[in-house]
Amino acid sequence: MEIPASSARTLFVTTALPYANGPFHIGHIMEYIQADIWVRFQRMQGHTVHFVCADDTHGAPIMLKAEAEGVTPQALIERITATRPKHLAGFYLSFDHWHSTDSPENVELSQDIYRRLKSAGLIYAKPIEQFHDPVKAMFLPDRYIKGTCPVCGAKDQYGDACEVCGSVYAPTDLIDPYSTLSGAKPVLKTSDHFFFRLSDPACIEFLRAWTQDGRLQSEVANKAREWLGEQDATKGLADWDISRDAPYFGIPIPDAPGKFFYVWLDAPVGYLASLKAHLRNRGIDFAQFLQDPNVDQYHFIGKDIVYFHTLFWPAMLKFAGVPYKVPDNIFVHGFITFSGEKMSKSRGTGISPDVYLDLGLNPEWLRYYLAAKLNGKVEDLDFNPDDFIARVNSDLVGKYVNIASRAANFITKNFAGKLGTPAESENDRANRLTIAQMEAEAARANYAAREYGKVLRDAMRGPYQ
Amino acid sequence: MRCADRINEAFDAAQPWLLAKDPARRDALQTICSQSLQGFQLLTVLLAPVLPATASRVARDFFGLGREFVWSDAWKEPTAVAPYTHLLARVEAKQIDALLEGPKATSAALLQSGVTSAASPQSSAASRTESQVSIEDFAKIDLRIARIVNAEAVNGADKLLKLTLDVGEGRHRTVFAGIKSAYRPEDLVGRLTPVVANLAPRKMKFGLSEGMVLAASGDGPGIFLLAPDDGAQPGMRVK
Repeated sequence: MEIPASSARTLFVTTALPYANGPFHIGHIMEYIQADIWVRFQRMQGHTVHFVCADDTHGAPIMLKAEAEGVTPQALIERITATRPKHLAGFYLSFDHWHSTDSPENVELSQDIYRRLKSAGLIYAKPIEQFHDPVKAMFLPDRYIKGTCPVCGAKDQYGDACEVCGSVYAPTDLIDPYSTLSGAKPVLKTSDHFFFRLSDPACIEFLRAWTQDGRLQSEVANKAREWLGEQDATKGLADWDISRDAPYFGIPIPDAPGKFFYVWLDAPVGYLASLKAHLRNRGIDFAQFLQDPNVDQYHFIGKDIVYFHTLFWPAMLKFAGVPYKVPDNIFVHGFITFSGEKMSKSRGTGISPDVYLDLGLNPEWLRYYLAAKLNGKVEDLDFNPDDFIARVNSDLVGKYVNIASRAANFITKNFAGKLGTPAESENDRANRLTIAQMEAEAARANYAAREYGKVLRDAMRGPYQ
Repeated sequence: MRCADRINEAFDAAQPWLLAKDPARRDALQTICSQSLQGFQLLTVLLAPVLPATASRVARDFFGLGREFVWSDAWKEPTAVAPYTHLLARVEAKQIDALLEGPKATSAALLQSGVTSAASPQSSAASRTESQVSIEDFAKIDLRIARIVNAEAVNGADKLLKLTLDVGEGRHRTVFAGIKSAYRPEDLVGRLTPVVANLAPRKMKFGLSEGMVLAASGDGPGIFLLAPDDGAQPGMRVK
């Protein structure tokens, strides 16, 4: 989708929220660089961009990690949040605001959206049997139950979603479940849970239209069509379990003591919480901002969280109603691999953004290299060390910087720094500048479509190679 | 101009180094250089979203615009240019090796520890950032390109080579360097390397040392003399 250059727009852009149980890894940095390049490009087109993100703080992993360390979840989050500025500044990431989902804004907005969905008749409670760890004496969070995926049969999959086939399901659907906290076989206990009625015909109709109207990347639209059961009417969306029982580190559900929002409900609301805090700092009214038809809302995410962002999130916003606004688009990228392998801390493969900065490596090298390999598709990107060195040294330094140093030396020595083209006809000069403008137009279209690799190939190597 | 390749090709085809020798072709020289620099401005605008810091320096310092680039600068002509100063360094294979080895190896990648000095190499990234210097401090160091015109072993010294250097000042200097373990003298003759030209002369057991050559080393074995890219000449300032 191209934004016409003639009309200045206002863009609300986010990257996925990093979970606040650890420092950034290279996958986060890649996504932020992808989004930052797009944001900086849009700003150069004269558009106003509000580029925000936040730490994703709720849920069982942080609660349990804090418990294991003997600190409060807030203290744990604070420690991780303190590591953010070094990387954000270090890689020239131009976020306007960085917030937290453990914030008053997020409590207010999550509860407001919930209440609106409830009055729209899309929330209901029902008793469900849920896994309980008899050793730890608590209901087991999805991520602490593993078992065999009920859809594709992959072993050792988490209780909420399968990393192999991408299906989302309830933990009780798992085959041969076990507690990863105690190793015990969990037992079923009954408790009331709240559900978002995603199977409602109005929801399905809305999502079929929104995901299939051509806005999404084709791979993403195809995946959504599968999930929505377009081809097979017997499959379709299940209602979404949005509550968790105490003890849980999260946002309380209104009028339901001991019940909390599942972290995946309040995490995307964190985009809006961050925006709201940012707009308040700028003296802009949040509700008016979202209702402005001149505002576009875009989310950059990785391919692992497409389900949440193309089904749950637009449906939540759509049926919460005014002033909430359905995203204009979701921009999905693939994973970063290392010389063809998945990055892995435990196997010692991959690169650490922290080490990159500590070594004093130029952040623009990484930005340039990733940009050269990024496109608008949901493709994995491979970091190859030899390729990195070659592109930086031969393209960036050898071709680009070289022009400046060679030409400027003659101008400095012979013309006291003054530029001019006395040996060129006025006609040739006009042609030359027209061609430059055409180059910029071509780059503009490619940047808008997140085809950064094409921009850099054209700039460095031209169309004939 | 479509791209960096074509800008460079047009520049080379015009042979500005020949134009510069012929006063009658001054206009042609200014024209090709100005066209190339417009091309450089175009490229910088296109790269600005990717290279924000470099683009900012080019706009403010190099072309003296007093502001950041806007998109339409891509097809505008700059009117003046400041003397070229360093924009972007090359990446060294060793830096990437250190990156891949992770935190434990960060010390091995730190370059430019002076091997002729008695000080041990700075060995952690933390200590490096703690001891920051200002640009003014750095400017006090007169780094020059030197040609090694002769290199020989020193009787009675296990680690030292005696280097005779041409630093473009009409005389030769003698510098003792602790690089014997890594280099045979005959391999060094003719090479270019940066030297600290204003280091206070130091009287050593074997004679007066008038400067210091620069080499990289880490915690592991190996000493690596620095070398400039092709085209550098003895006496050129390194900054």
